[in-house]
Amino acid sequence: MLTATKLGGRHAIIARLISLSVLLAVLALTVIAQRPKPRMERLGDGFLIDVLPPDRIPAIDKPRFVPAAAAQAFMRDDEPVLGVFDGKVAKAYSLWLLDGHEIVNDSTPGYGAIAVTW
Amino acid sequence: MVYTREVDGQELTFGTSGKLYKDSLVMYDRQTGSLWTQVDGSVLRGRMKGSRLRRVPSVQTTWGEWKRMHPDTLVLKKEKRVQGSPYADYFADPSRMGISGQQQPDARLPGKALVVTLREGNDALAVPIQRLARTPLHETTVAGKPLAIVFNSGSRTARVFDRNVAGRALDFEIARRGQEDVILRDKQTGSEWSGLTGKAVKGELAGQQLESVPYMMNFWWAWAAYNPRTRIEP
Repeated sequence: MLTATKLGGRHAIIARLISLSVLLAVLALTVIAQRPKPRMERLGDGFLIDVLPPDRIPAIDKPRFVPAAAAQAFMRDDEPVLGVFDGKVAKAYSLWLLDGHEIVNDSTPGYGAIAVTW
Repeated sequence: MVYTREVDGQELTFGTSGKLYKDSLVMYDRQTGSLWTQVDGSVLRGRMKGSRLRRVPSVQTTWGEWKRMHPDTLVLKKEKRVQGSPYADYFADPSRMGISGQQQPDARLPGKALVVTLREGNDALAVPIQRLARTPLHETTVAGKPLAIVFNSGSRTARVFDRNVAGRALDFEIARRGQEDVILRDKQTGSEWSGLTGKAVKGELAGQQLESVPYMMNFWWAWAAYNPRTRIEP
């Protein structure tokens, strides 16, 4: 609680209150100016929320593959993967790697263009 | 989940929108900017509204198991070293679900229970992994299609197969449960099948291959938010 004794007189209190209200007004304007577009929006029976800017988590657009024998240095046997087999070609996608990308834009001979999502 | 990227004759490429719907990933396509849900491949907003991505069968398993199933497999190269998951704590914590308070939409199962999920039209089914770990074969029907769900608890790998072979629906039982596979026997011919690959290995139907059906492995809360009328079996 502010008291006259601590601040040394009535004028000092008024001066403090004025500077405090100016500071609060500037802060409020700054917050309003910086507020991004609505972050949460009702859509159907759920909410659509903004968490990150688009592509902040980068999808993999030019995936490169190696045969299993050449993967010993970077794949562990207990590593979780998503596997796709189109009848001719088998491909595995590490889920540890996909944690950082979420989408791989890829293709296989049997399925054509595919999106591997995680 | 794996989807085909060709929709109505147009090839799309996808990026992350930075948005979540019902606390799950929302993708956008770079051709029209439409927003697509990862859980069910449908359009929330944009010119592609009304379209749906076609699902492609995939298997969630371990690298070791996948190599056994497909020794000649290719694997996505890592451009830099990545080991372990930044979400490990999240996976381990039974109380943490969605980030926006999408907590527990359906109390029939614990929110963080892992479920094998299937959907065909309006018919949605969830089978808890915990139950499959005890009984690694579950026969069911989704939208009239006879299916077999097989689970290998060693590598926590689920497979879902269409039980129709050459015009008839087979019924399976477990013949043997090994460390690396679940061997099934069909009641119609007595042939033996690998539950992991869906291939008949012995008997009259040897060499036949069961058709793989797309499924997802989800946390219950995430699936239930999108599919409130899901049946739970067994």
